[in-house]
Amino acid sequence: MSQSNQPVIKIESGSKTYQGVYAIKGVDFDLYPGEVHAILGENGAGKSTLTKALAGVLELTEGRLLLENEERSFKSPREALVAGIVMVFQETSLVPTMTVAQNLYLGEEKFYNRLRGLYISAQQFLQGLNFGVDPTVNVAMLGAAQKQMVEIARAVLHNAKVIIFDEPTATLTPEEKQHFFKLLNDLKAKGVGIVFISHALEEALDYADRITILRDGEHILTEQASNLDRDKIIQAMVGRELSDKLYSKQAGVKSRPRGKKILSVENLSMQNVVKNNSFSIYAGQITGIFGLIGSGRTETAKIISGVVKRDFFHGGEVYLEGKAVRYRVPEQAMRDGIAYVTEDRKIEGFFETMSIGENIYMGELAASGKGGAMLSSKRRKEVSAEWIKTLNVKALNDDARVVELSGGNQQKVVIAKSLIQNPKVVIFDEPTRGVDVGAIQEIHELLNALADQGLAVVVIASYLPEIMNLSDRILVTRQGRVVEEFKASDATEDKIMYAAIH
Amino acid sequence: MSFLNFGPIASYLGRGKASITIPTMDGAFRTNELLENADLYVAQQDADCLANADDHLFLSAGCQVFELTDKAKVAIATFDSEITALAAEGTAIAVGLASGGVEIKGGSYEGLYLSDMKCPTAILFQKDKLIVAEGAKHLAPGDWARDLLERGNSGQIVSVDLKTGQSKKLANGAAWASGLAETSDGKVIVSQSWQHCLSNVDDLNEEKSLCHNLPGYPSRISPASDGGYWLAIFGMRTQLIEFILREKQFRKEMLKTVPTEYWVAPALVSRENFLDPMQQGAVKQLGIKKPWAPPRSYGLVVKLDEDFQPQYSLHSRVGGLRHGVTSAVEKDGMLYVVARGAGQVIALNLSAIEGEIVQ
Repeated sequence: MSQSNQPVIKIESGSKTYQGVYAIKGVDFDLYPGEVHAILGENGAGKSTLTKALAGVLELTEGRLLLENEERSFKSPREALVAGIVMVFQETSLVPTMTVAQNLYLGEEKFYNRLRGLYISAQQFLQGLNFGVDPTVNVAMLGAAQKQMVEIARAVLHNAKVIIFDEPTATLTPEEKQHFFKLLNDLKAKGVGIVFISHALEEALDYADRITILRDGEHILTEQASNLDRDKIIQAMVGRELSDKLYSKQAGVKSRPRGKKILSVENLSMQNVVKNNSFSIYAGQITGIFGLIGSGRTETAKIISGVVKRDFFHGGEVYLEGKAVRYRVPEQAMRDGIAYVTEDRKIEGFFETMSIGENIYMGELAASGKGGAMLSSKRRKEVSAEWIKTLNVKALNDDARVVELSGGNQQKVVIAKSLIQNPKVVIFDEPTRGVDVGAIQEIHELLNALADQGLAVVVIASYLPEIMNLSDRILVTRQGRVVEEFKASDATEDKIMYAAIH
Repeated sequence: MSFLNFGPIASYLGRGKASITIPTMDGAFRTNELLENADLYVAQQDADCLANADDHLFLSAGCQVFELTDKAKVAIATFDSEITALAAEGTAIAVGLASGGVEIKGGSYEGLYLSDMKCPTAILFQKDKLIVAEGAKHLAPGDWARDLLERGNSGQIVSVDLKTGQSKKLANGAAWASGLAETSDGKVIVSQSWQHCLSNVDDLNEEKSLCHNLPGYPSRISPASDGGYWLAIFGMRTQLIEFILREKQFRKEMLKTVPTEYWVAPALVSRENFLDPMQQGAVKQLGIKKPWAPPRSYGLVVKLDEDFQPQYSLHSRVGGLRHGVTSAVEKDGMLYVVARGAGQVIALNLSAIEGEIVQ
């Protein structure tokens, strides 16, 4: 850590209230130049509020914000940007219909702009950062990692003194993560102060200099990362003893035996993304699918569940209980008993302005085909009460809008919406992405319970310890197809990673 | 849009019956080297079928039946023609002959000869009845590759009352019936090689089969001590063969002009002969595209549970020798397997198998 003695940015007793309710209360935070500072906490702990206050997205209601020892109050992110504070959001703030170069210089445009000149300077700048991103490509065409790179490039371009990352690695593959943290080190060496929020505790332990933990809007501790370990962090985050077996399969626990073959995928193809993919899914066990982003995992799941279509010519076959199926819309898959819990819940998982109850009831209506003018508010209340209780969704009542819930509770609503359809096969795509530690454990317990009940459970995840902990058998995808199958007892991180890459 | 899955449209789109897909070797079919690494029990050229009764283990090979004991073989009977099926009960053995007919030696029906059976491929004793599977109506048992390439479905299952000698057709239209088993409630199960399934004899319909879409061509079935079954798979399905089976004119020409041994068809053994048909393919490893060829022959035994669902399997893979498995029988905690391609009977300890295959 190359710190100077004076913090670049500091919050003293910062509080933010919404209608009298504290989102953060009396929080102290400081960041030194050339320091990587991780902020950890469960969903709803106040991490985002704190970082948004730093970046000028919102103003503190109490307390002081000091930038290089000078009290400041940013009215907008623009003011913070001018002052050298940039925030890279979890959902990138890039304009998808504009090119990379246009996004880089957005807000910096001159009176007369020549696109060619813009591309040349963007190209030089990106190459200077060793980013392999084409400046002429529309941002919508980029993968998550490349979007992240553009965001970082934009921050560097603005001579940022402080860069704040909200869940920067959530959508990155392990190799891309390595690249990202190398970048962090480069920025750090240049004296940039870095704040990052992450649910992956190992990342914070490995890469941060200091760690701040928040709980229920309050500051719990700030400590050198070297003085902390996983257990201490979890205990501080949740304020209670949590099973330390979250990501470690207990010795002696036997994998569940295979049940009947429920789903069989043969030579499934979709353009260049899914290529001759073949595998089988069995009832009564959890099949984990691991692969790098772009290895066709999600697309395969989406073809199976009717979200996207396979190739029209020689697209392969999907057999559900021995019967060839080909769905045009997800509704048909749902009625046949295939539920898909999306990796991107905010866009594809729920109706954010509708209530918990309405969302869950929607799942039942979609599967049963009933509904139309015959909606029953009584039934809606029944099903939502039942599932809120079953999945321990934390909300004041079932009328709460889903958008107001924390990530973990939103995910539980999405799961409830799928499980109410009484599926035979449930495909969970990144079930714990953006979910806090407490909810991760609850979701893992739920997945295990579903497999114990005899359902065929498929878990697609990028986080190796999660796949290894949950799965009874592990399939590894690479370049659009399943290339390796491991018994849970045989699998090691190295073996899985080797199969995923080579 | 189910009309897209049938007829010439399906053929054009590569869908439904015309989709050239084969089941993946995962889950219960996850590969291992258990067959390849098993102990040799007896080497015997043309070893084909195993049967056990009253603590005796019998093996048919060529025109002879042997009794196997302690890694040794003793010839107990010789017939005029090659033996194509074998069953045993008590002191009796029944054999199917390549020249046609089924003959019983020993027991109460000693000398009984059933001449009506033209293509016996499997035999099952059922109290005072003998159930016989016939692969095809007009072909000899050795012509199985021709039957596959002609997409034959003329096999039948016949029940013969041993007391009266009267026979009764239980089912016909089987796509090379090649294995028989009896369930605990007395039902007869038949394996249809070209339909890649096991069916109840009362209903050979593929969609109602007990175990379907197998990755290879099922052959003989025998009971396991835990209530399940052992299924021998004598050849693997490959995309090449599935493709050939769609091309009628090509097959017709091949059957007419190419010597039998070089047909594009499954084989019981791979020879190191450049004239053998190969399927071109490629895999990309470490950034380099490498050619490969799928198996011409393979060794596979599948353990089925009592509902005929595959539990696990024993393999001899492409580079191995124990290929063309035609029979597998369990006796006294051991599994005996005939790898016809290698001319071997191999023995595996069941507890060792289960130790190796942790589910």
